[in-house]
Amino acid sequence: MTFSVAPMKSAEAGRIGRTIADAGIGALRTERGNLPLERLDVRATITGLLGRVVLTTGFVNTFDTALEATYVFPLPDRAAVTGMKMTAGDRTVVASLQERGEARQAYDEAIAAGRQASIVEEERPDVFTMRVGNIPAGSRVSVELSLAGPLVFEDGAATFRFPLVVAPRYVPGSPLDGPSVGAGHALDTDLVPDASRITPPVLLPGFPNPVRLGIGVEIDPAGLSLGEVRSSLHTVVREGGSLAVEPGERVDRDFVLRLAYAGAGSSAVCVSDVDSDEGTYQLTVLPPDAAGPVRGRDVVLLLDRSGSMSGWKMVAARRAAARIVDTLTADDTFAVITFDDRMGRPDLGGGLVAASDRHRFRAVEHLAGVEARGGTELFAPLREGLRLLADAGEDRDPVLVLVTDGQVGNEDHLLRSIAPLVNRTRVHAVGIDTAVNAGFLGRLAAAGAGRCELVESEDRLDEAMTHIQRRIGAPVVTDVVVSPASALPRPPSAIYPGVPLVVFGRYRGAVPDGFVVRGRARDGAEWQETVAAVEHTEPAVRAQWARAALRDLEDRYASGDRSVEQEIVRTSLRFGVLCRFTAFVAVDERVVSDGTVHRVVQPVELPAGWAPVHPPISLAAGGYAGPPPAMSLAPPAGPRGARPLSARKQLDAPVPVPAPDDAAELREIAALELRRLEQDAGRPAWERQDLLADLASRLGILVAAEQGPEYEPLRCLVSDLGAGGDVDQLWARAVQVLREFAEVPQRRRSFWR
Amino acid sequence: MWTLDELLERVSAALTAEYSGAPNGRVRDVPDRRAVRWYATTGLVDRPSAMRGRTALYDRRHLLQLVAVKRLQSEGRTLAEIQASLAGATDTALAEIARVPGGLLESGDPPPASSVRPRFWAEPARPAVALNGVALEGGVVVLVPGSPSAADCADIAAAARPLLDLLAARGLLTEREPS
Repeated sequence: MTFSVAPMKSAEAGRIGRTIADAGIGALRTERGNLPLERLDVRATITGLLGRVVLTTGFVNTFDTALEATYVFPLPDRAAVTGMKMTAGDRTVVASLQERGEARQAYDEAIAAGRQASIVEEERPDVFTMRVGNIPAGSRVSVELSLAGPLVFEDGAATFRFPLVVAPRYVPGSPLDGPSVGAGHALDTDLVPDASRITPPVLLPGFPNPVRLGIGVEIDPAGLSLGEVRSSLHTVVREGGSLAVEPGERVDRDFVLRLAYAGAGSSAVCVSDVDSDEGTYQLTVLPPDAAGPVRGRDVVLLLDRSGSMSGWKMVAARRAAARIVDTLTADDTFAVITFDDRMGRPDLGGGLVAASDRHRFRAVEHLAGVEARGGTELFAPLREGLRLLADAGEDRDPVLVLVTDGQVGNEDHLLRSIAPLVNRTRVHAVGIDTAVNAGFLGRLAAAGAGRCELVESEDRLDEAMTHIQRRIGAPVVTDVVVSPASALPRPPSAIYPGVPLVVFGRYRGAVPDGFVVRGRARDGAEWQETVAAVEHTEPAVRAQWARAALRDLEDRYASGDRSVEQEIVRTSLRFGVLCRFTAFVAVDERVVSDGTVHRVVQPVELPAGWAPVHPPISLAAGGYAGPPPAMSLAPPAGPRGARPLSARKQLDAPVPVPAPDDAAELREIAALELRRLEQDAGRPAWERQDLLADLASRLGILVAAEQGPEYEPLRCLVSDLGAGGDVDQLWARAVQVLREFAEVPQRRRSFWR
Repeated sequence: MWTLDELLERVSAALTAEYSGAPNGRVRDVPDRRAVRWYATTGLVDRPSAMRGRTALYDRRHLLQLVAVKRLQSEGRTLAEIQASLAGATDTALAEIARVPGGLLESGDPPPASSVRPRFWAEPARPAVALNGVALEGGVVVLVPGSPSAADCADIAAAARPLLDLLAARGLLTEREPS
């Protein structure tokens, strides 16, 4: 097979090759310096839509005592880590997967006893720590990790992404008493109790490339027809369907391959267990062609770039904004406005432009260059955004998305001025960080009938943006149910245009003949597809199911259900897939050291595109000096709240701002929501379900700030809507509660009596 | 174990004992708190050994690291070069570069024998608390964890008078003064 690899355009590479999600730092070691990591080797085998990778890390001990090297590194967050091997000279030890506490103890005991050992632990779904201990002076040790994960498929192209860097994270909170649990530069805090495990030191600009990076990929289209392949790093094609990244690349960005595939169909692959009467399936269903014309969307994206947005907030918001831009199609128009006390926008003219490939690239390029600075002036961008959307035709959906961490003092004034401009525009508000002005965003979303989400971490931001993305990109099928059903992981409930539905699950007994997928099409009609099952022996199906199931269980644990811990550990050990509660540990029986050990943490690269953090001004040798470091890299500095607010929030309203008469305003909002419900009563069930969920999101934020029994019915309504159920019943209940609340005669606050 | 101030005093003493200053005179004699934090993000200095309540504690290795950084800086080495030679260095190597007088290295009390929190991976982080803003004049916003009523806001504004006067006197408020 022959194919060629095209380099990505710089905008694309800059965008997708940049580290996503949690950041990472690729670790680097130099042969001559003290750094232990000298080699990083990625061998990937892509079979259709499955990517298998063997990652090899090579460590060297340049010291004259035994060494323990710690390396914090990223892996693709949906990949299952299924195995580990440690090799020193001619000795190879295969690691075993154990409960995390036991594995850590086994490792510590081995190190104390002078044995060579290594351990790999998961800190976040995409951040891992590897420790390799008792590397004898002058020796080399390599550790090999095996993983398998799905390629993401969208609009005719599959994406294989392998992250190489863990980006610096902003660590909020106050330091905890006592020693920290990891070797990174941040102290553990009450808000990030394992901050020390995810903050490896960062290499300074000008540090010679310390790690030899090798990347090789074998591609087997597995029956699909392979079109163009594009790569974010410079690659050369070798014989027989393989390609390699040219030597000399730094470990400072993600390696991304995009493979154009054609000929994919729906499929169901079943792999029976060898040790039980159960099995695992992977079901892939192509989206049906959208019935009826898709309504065009006019989207304005407002992104706050004020000084307080620096650090993870800016990075995450930029990424989220770019993702929204990417979901638009040529039928849509859009505008991107970034703002602080001034407005900026991509070089696309002043109005809405068609969301063509070129325009979207330009917009994403602009977003990638956005830096946090200045104060927050919300009024002008909101007015401008709504002005752009004011002329949207009846057949189009005007949408405005605001992403901000703004504390505005003039909220009443703002809302009064903005409300008359909202018109038909759907306004979604995303508040970032804990000090956001929740009331303001809630009221803004209420005025614009949109969602309101408050997020305090990158993970939550991703979730919130997914919700909003769904509101913007209408699914072709909703209420998806697969039978035979599998409890874990929770299957996706909607199918989007251009993206196949992929479901992993387990079955008991004989291999099912096939799977039936039912749902509701856009027009409300029943939709159904039957996919015949094919038996297979690919073990990666099982591993991928386990990874997805573990992610689900870990989310449940994180949201308070402590009872699932046993199930997490059991699932992880039974299926041999690493999770946060287990660890791979390898111990060599041979004693190589007297137990004294020098410990070194591998410093890692700053991800490409990140501004280097300058030393405090007086430190710079050689006369170069920069501004003081942004908070992004600084360890937690004292108590929360010491964080400076962005400078100069503009204040137009008379001061001090009189707080609104909350009760009266909420009644007005309730009346408005009631009118909306009455207007939309004739919409199909799936649409009304979304409308109710959005209503709950903004109402929840508004009543959260209120105390008193009169708000109790609203509070109950929010929690009922959150719990879900029959749409018609919920709809009727919402109408009733809103009507009762809106119609209660206003009791004035008679403070003078 | 030393507090940061105690550590910096010792750094100063060690440098005074033998320190030529940077050739171009730009390197400040003694690092300050912010510099120590920044060094930690680059691995030039370890993070504090432990926390005693809110106080970060340091020991011998931090002293060696800080003095070694300053010594190499005074030789005109760039920070990247310094990082290449000091990141991960052993105490012995650091001591050779730092040349800290023996007396300064005595750290007195031994490090506390507390163990790290077991099962840290299963500990939940304390959920973040959303704050509400109370706007005062001149662009000042007070953040409170509770939900202040109109009356609360008025009382807060009144109670903040002396602070606002101070901020105004120092020129720290926005210029557009509506009243």
